[in-house]
Amino acid sequence: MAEVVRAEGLRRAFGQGDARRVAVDGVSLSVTPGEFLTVFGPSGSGKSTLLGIVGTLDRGFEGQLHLDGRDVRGMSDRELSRLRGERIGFVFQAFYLLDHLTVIENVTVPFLFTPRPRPRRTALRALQRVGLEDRAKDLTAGLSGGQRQRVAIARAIVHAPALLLCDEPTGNLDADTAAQIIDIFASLHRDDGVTVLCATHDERIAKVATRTVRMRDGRLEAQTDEVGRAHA
Amino acid sequence: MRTRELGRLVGRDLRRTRGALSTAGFGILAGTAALVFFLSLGLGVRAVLLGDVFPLDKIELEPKGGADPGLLALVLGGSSVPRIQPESVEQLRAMPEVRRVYPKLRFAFPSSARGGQALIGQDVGTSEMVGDGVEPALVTADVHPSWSFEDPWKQAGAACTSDVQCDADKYCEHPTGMAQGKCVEPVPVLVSRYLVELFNKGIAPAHGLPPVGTALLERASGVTFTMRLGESLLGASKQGSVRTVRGRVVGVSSRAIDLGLTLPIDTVRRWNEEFAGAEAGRAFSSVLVETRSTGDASVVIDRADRLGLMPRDTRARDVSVLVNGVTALLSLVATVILLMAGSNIAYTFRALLSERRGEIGLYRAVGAARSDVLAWQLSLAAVVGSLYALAGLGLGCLATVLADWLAATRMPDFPFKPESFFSLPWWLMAGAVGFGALFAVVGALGPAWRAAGADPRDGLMG
Repeated sequence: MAEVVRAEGLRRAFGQGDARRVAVDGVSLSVTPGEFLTVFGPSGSGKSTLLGIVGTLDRGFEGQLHLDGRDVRGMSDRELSRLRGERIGFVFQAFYLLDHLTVIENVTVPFLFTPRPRPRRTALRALQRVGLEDRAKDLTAGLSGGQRQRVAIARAIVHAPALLLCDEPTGNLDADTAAQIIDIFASLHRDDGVTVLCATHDERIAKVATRTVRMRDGRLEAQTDEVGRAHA
Repeated sequence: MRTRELGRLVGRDLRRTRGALSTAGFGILAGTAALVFFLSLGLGVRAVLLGDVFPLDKIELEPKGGADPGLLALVLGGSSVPRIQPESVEQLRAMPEVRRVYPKLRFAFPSSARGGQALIGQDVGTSEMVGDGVEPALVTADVHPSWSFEDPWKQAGAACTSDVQCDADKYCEHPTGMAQGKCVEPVPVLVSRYLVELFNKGIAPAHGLPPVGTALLERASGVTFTMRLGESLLGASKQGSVRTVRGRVVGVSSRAIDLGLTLPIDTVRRWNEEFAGAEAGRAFSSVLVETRSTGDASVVIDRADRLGLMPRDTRARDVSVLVNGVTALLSLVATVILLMAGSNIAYTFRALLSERRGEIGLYRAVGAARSDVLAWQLSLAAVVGSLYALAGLGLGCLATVLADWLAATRMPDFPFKPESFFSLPWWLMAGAVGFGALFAVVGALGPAWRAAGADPRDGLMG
């Protein structure tokens, strides 16, 4: 089966001279379709940087990166933007909702740049998937933290991406709310076959993943296969 | 990004950041209003000065050293004054920048005129009169429809030796050396608007006479008067018999000689030959050249110089330079206001975009290209600039109306006082709005460029 992500020897450094810091150091990684992979590690280990590279938001890396079988190194900014708009969904720790918009308007934001037919109907389906269809017309400013993250997940899956990238998705949530969000990710993976790559230091996410890789000081340390299946 | 989605994005921004954008847009409003006011004032004043007072697309050329011969020259030997030969007129006609050429013949003999009782209740006259002969085609539009502007001598008429032998509306013109004259209609004459203004503002008040207003001017058409040919206060011509002819005012024309009477050129040619000799009837005293555009005037003047001709009046060009200079200065002030507005827009956008790093990062993550971010911000600036420039246009127009009203009600009357001091052509209005929008876009360009080029991770993953 073709890999959704195939990365070889990824390396990313910031700064120059004595201030130079290597955030990702020789990481090789592959994610197959339908897989739920967590990149587990402490803060500052390079997880978010790795996600930024895989999500094509960061172009200043060395190494090889293929998404959906396509080499992203030679792509223009517009081609990469289209790739993100069509094939990748992002969920961030800080949600990044636009509070001057309603819930459904937030979910349809990706369609501003990658138009689809019947955007509102598609967005409503995504909201149903995260259990928020009854709040579609509310402003996001009035939502709880858990609800905000569910809106962010709906926004990330509204265009049925090939890869869902999550960066510390439970980092701003209390334990109970985090558990609800983790359930949604597990359900998306289990029931809808969504491929997930999640950077986290929340062990509960690692438990629902099919595979976990550990990262420290920019390097992958160890790999645990089928952790998620064992806990499912 | 498609236009519809771009419009949606911009519309949301306009609603969300009304306050900040209003502050930024106010400068555009003020600058555009000032630009509209000053430019339309410059155009309006220029149109009056160059259209009515000193028409610039028409240059009157005369021989070098042949500046107005003056009354003394007329008396002492007008025919010796330098003149323009018909060959030079043909060379002027052949110039590509020249649309039309109208030669003129000035009276080469002394004369005087008297009349006006039917119009203002008493006769007024001048003991010295200057007359210009022009081609009818030059002034056709200014001639009252009831009359024609042709030499009456060309028409058929009964032979006569005295006025009593002619019909009531005709008189007996009896040229020197002819056994009999001919019953003809009075010679059609045009007067200048300048002359009317001079009479109204200078002569009429001094003599307690009524001014010649629009209604009276209409009545003036058809009024007859007498002209004494071959003799004036300063003396008599060397040839020809002094005689009296009749003239009839047939209209007011901006192309008529300022101080004097304007007659058909064929009439003046006859009289010049009669009182000053054949050369005075053949060669022209000046020539009016109509250029294809106002920009061609300087070229024609340069070429005419090689023919020994020079412009009679350089005031038009001087006035044009002055008006253009003042307008440019005032427009510069307006442009400085717009520049400051652009800088204000730049500051506002820099602040807005700094606040929105996360939002921009999100847009980049969900599929926005750098060019989409740039288009979004520049479109927002263009819409803000256009809206406030439109408001500025409205304010500027309002200011012109107010200024015209003040001028009409508070400013004393003066010659050539226009009904409006402003000219607002469509291109000026469109240009002002475009200019306002442009300054807003230029102001936003730097911040928008930086925002589009920023690393999206900075906004999202810190």
